[in-house]
Amino acid sequence: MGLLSRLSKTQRRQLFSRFALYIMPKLSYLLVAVSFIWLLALPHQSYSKRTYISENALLPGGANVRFEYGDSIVAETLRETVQRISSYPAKERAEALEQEFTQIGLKAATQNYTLNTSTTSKFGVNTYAVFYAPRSDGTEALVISAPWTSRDGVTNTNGVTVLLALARVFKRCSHFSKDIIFVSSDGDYEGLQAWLRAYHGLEQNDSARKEDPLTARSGAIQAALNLDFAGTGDYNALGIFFEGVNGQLPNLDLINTVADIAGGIAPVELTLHDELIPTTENMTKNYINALKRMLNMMKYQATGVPSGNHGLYLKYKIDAITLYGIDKPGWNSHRFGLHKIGVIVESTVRSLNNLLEHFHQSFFFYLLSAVDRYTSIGLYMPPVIILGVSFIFQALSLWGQSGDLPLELESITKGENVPIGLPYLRRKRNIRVPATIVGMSFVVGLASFYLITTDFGFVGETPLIKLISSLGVSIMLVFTGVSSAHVRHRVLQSSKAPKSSEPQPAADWVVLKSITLALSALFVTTLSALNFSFAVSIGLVIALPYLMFRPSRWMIFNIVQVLILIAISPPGLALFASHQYSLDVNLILRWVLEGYEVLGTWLLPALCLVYWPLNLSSIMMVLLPAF
Amino acid sequence: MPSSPSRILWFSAALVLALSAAAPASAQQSSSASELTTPEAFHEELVLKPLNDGSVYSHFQFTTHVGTTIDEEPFNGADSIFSHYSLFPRSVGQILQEFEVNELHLTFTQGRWHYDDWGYPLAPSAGTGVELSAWLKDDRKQVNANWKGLTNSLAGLFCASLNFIDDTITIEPKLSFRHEGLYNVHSATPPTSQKNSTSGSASQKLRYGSLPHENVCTENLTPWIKLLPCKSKAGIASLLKSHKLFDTRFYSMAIHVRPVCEDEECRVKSLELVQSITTVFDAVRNDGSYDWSMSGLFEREIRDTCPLATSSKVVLHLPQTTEYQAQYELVPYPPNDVLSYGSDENKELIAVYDLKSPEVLSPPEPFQISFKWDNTRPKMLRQLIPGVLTHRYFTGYGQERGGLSIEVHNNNLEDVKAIYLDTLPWFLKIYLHTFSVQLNGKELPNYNEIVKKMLYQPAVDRGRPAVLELGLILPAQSVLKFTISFDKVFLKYTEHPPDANRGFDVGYAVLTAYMPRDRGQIGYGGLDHLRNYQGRGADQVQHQLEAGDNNQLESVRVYTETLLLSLPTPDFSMPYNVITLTCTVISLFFGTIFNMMTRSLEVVEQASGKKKDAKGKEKAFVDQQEEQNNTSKDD
Repeated sequence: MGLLSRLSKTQRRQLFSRFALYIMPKLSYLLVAVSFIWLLALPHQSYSKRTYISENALLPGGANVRFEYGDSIVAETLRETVQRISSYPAKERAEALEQEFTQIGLKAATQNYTLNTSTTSKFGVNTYAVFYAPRSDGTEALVISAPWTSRDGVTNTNGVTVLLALARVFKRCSHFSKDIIFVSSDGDYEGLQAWLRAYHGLEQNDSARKEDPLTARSGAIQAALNLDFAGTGDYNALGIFFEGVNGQLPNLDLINTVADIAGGIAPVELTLHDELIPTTENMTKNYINALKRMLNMMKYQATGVPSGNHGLYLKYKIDAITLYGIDKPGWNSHRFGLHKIGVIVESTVRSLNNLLEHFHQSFFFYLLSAVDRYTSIGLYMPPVIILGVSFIFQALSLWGQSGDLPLELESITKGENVPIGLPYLRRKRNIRVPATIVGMSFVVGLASFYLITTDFGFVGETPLIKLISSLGVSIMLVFTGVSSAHVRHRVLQSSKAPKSSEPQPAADWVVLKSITLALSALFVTTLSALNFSFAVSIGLVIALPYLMFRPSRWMIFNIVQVLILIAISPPGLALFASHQYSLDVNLILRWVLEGYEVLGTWLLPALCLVYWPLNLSSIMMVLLPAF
Repeated sequence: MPSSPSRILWFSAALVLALSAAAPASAQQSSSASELTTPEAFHEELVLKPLNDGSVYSHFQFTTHVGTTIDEEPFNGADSIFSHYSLFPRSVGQILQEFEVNELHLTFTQGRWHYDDWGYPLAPSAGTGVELSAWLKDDRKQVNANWKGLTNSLAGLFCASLNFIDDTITIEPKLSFRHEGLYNVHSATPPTSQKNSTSGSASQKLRYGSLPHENVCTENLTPWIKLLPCKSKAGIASLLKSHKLFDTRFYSMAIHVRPVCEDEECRVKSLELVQSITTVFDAVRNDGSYDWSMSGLFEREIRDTCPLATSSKVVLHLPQTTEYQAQYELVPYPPNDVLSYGSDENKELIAVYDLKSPEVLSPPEPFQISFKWDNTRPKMLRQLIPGVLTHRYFTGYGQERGGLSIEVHNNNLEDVKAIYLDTLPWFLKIYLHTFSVQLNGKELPNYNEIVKKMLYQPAVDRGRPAVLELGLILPAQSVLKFTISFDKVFLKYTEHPPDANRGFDVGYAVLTAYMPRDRGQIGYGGLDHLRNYQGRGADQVQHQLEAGDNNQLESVRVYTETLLLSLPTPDFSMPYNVITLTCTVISLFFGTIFNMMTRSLEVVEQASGKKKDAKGKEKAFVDQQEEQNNTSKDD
């Protein structure tokens, strides 16, 4: 107190900012802890709410369904037809299905497409049919789609059958206000994508994509249901897949509508994805189950690859989900077949048909810990922001330290008049080395992205070889960067005039770490607004290494740090994933690459262009001279 | 009144004349022409036609004429006629007179006409919603005021939101929607007679507007029925049961008023009012059977004819099969056998029932038609390939920009002249430089050969729409595709409709194509064809056919789809939240600030009262205030 009162106002301010500078790194660790705990608390019951129907017009289950017992008998004969034609080659199969739709009285057509990526070439034929709602103006439409191949890899026989059966039922009805489009798409994602592109007039006809224009179309698509019912048997439960490309989500009301119908007029067991977890009264087990479900959802979101064909619609502002039939023998629930599927889909379509406006009432940003429990954006955003703040705190404190000198406390206490500046202005910063390193890292990131995505056309070209080559480029960068920084350091040390009054600048790694952390914070927080789960997973992986690591006098520490950083670098993560899913690294890479080339996911660009450069900068930071 | 057999005879003769462009007019015509010079006449007619996909097309047409019989008298359309008339609805007459309307076309439509499946409609019908076009006399230079008055009066008359056709929607097409009716054809062709004609096109202005999202329902039908002389009490109109009419795939209700000529030289003129209802019944929907009967379709019967009607007919177009003839049973069979006209592949068979003849309708027994296929319906019905088709759709996604694609298919074996008219609301910012033309999928760098004329009226924000009119030559058997890009406008939040997230309807575009009359799709375009049934105007059609090549072509209007445009929409709960939040903050501030300003806190002397608390102080302050007020009052 005695000291403080004797200090002038500026001196006091300087002391405070110095205190802030040295407390902030500690505070940042505390913030990381808060963020981690907050994230873990999210699945807990008290942090999620029960879902509810927000749009009044939906009235789920309110309409009498026309899909009767007799229709399911007809559906069974249709199933035999579908089963028969499913074995044909793509073109014949699509045309046979077109014929079926035409016979029902719908306007049907087929669409050919070819897609060439850097790894493969895919050809397929889609079938689509439009039911024109009587007396409607055709400005709005709904889509029911079923891919020929289920997510299990089996033929989606029941799914396609339901399309035909529903088309028959709808043809009898005169109460629809929106046209209904039936799409049976070929291939994994590329079929439906080709159809959607052509529907929005974006069809291409060049070396990369060849998509036929559509001959029958309707108005603006308001919502879509994708059916995935593999095989010809019955199912134990109905799963909902909803995560789209780059973690985009459909309006929560769509999921709520299906949940309401599956719990009401057509009672079936409903779950998220394909997880069948027995319900318990045990609080801990409940929490762990909820955590599992939420993590599963975040996993689908983070990779950016949609969890089903529905994910492709979301880009076009069409809310969509996939209904998936889970067949798990031995699971204790009522099994259901074509009849209940038909009723659920028809009832959902009737609800969607009621919509006067595009889906807008309910949430577009949410995390689900069960079909009927959600956590809204207001609750889940803070942890990522806190994480970003913790990065920023340490970055600021390092930036301050790099411009700071030890305080002449003694002279102050003696009452001498010492000119005292602010703590971040007192010595020259040398940002040439850090700026070069960061800049070059981004150049290398761009180069590796180019290497991985370009098709060079040499024999035996695989994504793995390209990854290894880009790894080579980055290793070269690390060697040259670190060695030249060391050489520069030595030269400066030896040539320095001993009597220089100029204070010595701080070590290069301080500014480099500050810049890396600031960029990481920028990256993670920006990404969190676009794809929360991706941002969280990146934030969690890099938080502690990036905050804690610094060059040490002992070589062994440096080596351990570098090894950890390499482990969380993109090649390290690829190796980890291949170990986790016991797949070839090549397959993992191909999957990521196809995600980027076919669907336009951000995983590859984000990893190559931002994540990897920051990782390289961190590795070089650890290897720089310690002081 | 001539006996019915001779009428039918005449009718068939007229058809043959009109459609095969053969012999000159017969002697019987002059007699029928003189019969038509009565000042007023009313004709009712129902045309039924089974369509290729099993649906049944029905077209009710009620024609009222009011006319002059004197040659020399200058014909002023509505002006002079409405001093005394009995059949012509007065409410319409007064509107025409008041707003100086020369020609009026108003169509209410619900549903889309599927050109692919159904061919062209026998009588023109518009795209979804309401379409209104009128030629207004410009003698007193108050067309805009008259148009406003016209839309408002019609809105009142038909219980529709026609008054929303304001300046932001109204356009004046320069190429499309020309004068209709033989009177105008007649008065326009000889340039010398134009001087005398008071209703020449020079002194008239066209106004056109459409409401794509207007729903049509019973409330519009009731006032429409009221205009008929017999209402729906007798005659063909007794079939109009709204419950059934609105359970169809397509419903279109129209009222057309135009001046017409009653003879070749146009010595006798009259004003014609055509009221029509066009529907497409889905006969197959309920029981899956392709058989149908009139009572099944309408759930009503014709018990008698309208006594005021000069003619009353039911006309049935019989289906054409390519495989074999007549595998169906028609009850009752028409008393004068089935008429046929056209040749070979374009041959049409028609059954005509004259309800005025006792053979067909004898009052206690209702008139009934039932149609049954012998076994099942043959699949090989004659394929319809509409000559010209057009589709329009939006391209792109997102709320910032988009594109418009217009496809025009010409299936004819020869080039076809056509006019494309598109009205685009001002909130689509169109970039004309992005206009491009593709022919059969190939981009045309120079499209002057195809787009002969291009009229573009740029939009004015909140003022008027953009109008794009193209004079086109459609190459034979081709697909033309026009594309144009636009930006979407961010609207003021008050400009959004109540259901903001639905989007905005962008009305249909109209393609007017000029095609040869005998293209196998009889009667497309123009009411002239239906007038043949009534035994009127056949000689004029003949006259037209002989006049030259150009006139042999008939204009067909093809309507495109209505589109839904989604503009960037704000979250409308946001203004509400802002208002709530602001009000809360203001009320909190106001409370404290008002308190601070009005309360005076003073140290109260110990002696004057130990127990005085804060309330006491306040009270003291209020007392003091009151005292001041009192003194001021005293002053």
